[in-house]
Amino acid sequence: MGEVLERSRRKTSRRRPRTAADSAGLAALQTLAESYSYANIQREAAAGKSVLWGGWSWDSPLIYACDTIPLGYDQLWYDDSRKSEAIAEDHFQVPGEFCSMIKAMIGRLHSDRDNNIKRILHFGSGCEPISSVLELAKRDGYDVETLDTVTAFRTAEKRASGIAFLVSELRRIGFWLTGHPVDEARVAGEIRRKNLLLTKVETLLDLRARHPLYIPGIQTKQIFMGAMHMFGDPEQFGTVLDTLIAELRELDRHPEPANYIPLVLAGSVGNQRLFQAIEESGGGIAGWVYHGTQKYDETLPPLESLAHFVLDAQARGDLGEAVGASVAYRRILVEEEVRKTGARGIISSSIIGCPYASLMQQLERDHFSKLGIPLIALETDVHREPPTEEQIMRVKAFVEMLS
Amino acid sequence: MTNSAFSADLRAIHALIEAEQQAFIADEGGRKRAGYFCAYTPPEILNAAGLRHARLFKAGSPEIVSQGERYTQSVFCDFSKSCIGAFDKEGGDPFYHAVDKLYTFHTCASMKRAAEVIEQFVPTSLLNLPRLRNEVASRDFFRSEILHYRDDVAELVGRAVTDSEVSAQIALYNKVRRLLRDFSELRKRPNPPLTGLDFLALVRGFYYLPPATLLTAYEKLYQKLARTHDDGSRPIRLMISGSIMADGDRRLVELIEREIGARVVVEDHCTGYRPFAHTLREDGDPFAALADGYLDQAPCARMKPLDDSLDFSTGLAEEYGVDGVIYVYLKFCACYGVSKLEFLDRLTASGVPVLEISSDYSVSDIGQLKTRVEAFLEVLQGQRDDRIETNSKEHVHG
Repeated sequence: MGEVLERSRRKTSRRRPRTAADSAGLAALQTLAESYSYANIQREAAAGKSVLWGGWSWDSPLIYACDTIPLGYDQLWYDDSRKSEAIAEDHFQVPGEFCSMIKAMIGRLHSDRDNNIKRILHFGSGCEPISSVLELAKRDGYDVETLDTVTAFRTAEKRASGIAFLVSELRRIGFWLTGHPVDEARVAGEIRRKNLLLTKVETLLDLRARHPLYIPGIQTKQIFMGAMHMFGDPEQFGTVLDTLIAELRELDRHPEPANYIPLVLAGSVGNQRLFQAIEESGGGIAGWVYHGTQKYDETLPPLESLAHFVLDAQARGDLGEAVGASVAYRRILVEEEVRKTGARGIISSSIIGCPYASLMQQLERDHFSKLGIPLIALETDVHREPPTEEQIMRVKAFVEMLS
Repeated sequence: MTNSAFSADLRAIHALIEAEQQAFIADEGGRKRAGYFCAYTPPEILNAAGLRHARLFKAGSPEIVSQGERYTQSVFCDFSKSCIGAFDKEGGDPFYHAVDKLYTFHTCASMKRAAEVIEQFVPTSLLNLPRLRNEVASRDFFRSEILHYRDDVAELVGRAVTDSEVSAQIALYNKVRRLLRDFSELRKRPNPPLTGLDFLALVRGFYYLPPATLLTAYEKLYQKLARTHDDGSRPIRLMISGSIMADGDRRLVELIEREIGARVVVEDHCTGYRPFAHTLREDGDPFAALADGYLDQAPCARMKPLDDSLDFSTGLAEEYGVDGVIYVYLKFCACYGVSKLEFLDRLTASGVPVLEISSDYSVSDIGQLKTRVEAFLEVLQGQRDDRIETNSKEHVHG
């Protein structure tokens, strides 16, 4: 019997890759993600490359066009987050009720105040506590530049004056980065390049919806992040996506019965071990509302295109609190994903102590309760320790209930 | 300490406010009713359109907080939760239920989020407020948002709101601001003829009463108070700085003034003195005047650069000769909670002792609050006694 199983396994692995360990695409993704680490980029900054904290999201085409590497805020809590949180509470006296994310940010910035990545870009429409902690970072000599607040609260409220103002703000940021007016043709080129990658990500996510365990949650989150900042290496990221798409297409050619409970995840899971708990319990994240795959409008002047992109995302409830997305509309995107993937339940995730996400979770809870779609709200932190037993039990009980 | 404080007779003002609130609820006169949350919303436009209007800052009750928690979780500031709870149709506050339209400028993210929930109860217009108060482009953008606000209001009332109407309201509201500043000036006296509670009551009037009504009532009161003779006593003088102090959140000031006998002589918060420190330009384009005027007002900590807020706070403490500052922030208020160290350090560096209080609308911590405030005031009293002794010795020795 054992021999039969072994033969079967060998046969399967010849036909197509079956797990993360077999996948050349996932291995390449891991290598690429590791290359986009704080330590590596710090070395590039030390060698004279222009780097800044922030600018990794909707605004990344501008930042790349200014020959600058955008470094995601998430690198600030990737390591030493407990120590950083303690610095925030002790040195900066950030009250305990605020989330681990902002505390890890300011704590790590303080620890690394003598590093040479000293510029920080911040969008004023986003999270209020981040705006406030970055004021504290100025004490440590950081050059914090705010892209002023513009929000389209609804799609119909994307006013021409807001677009024009945001364009002028983007120009100002370009000047701040380079000392001269931004080369808009280069921004247009970066937009085209990012659109190509977003198209690939969209294709990948569509394919992955049928094979959610093939690209596990942790790696899917990396792909979402890469869709924004491209790991500082757009060409390589494109190659990784092509490889993964080919692998998923290969899987599509030999469909097998789904052996998982399809779920939709709303938001990010701060503690990555929770992804494993979901998947070990038999859940598969078939749909995910996190950072969408909307494209930039290439028919518009490039800075206008960036402005439209972010204001559209806000009104859609996309891109999260980093851009001040509406809390009222993400549930619509979640509902679409549920319909598209046939998910049996929703995991709505937020960071402990985030008032904005907690409100959105409550709205989602009420909305999906009326629709009769089961939803579990998870709260996690940004630390890397395993989740609590209680969290794991809640996830497992939820998936079990759905099965 | 004994309570030798004077207190202004504000019964007539209270009666006016009560009558206005009842008229608001009862829809007397059939005028459309508008509400707004933040001191960055220009009521000049609402008044120019002939709307009945009020700033919605009633809060302080744990029951309304609980009502709001039907929509939020606990990790929201109690003021935001109260705003949501007050609009909730099941329970809530009849005053809020009477609002035909809510206008809210995007100040802090919590209030923006609150408005996104509230729009299920009442038609709501959310408008942009820039953070960079010193940038020309930000001011131009704010002006365009104010124009949009004007158009929205015009649609609500069904007629145009003219430039001259807005200009007239700017002049009218400036008069009110000056008068409130004059009231506050009286608090620079060693023994002010009005308490901190009195001043907060006058500020309530600013947000609930039509300005013309207010001017008539307040001018008489001002004349009376200005003639009050000092009885020679000098209570401990305090400034309160920090988060919004809602209409209904009086427990700290009552504790300071009624139980302990010290005096709040000025407030660096958006429901005290702060919004009246600045008047608007009265000539030229009225919408540019509104944009500049509201961005030039003493800033909320949400605005950038934060240094402007810190400078204002330390300057105000010095101007009013305070013995100490009580810095109060609402739990989960990012603007004043996360930034508190900047305020505490700046005020302390300027030589003013500061007591920091993290607050909410629960009632369970009143004993602890009293102990902390009493201890702080004892320290201030001791410092003052030492100063008097030193001064008298210097006087004796020539």
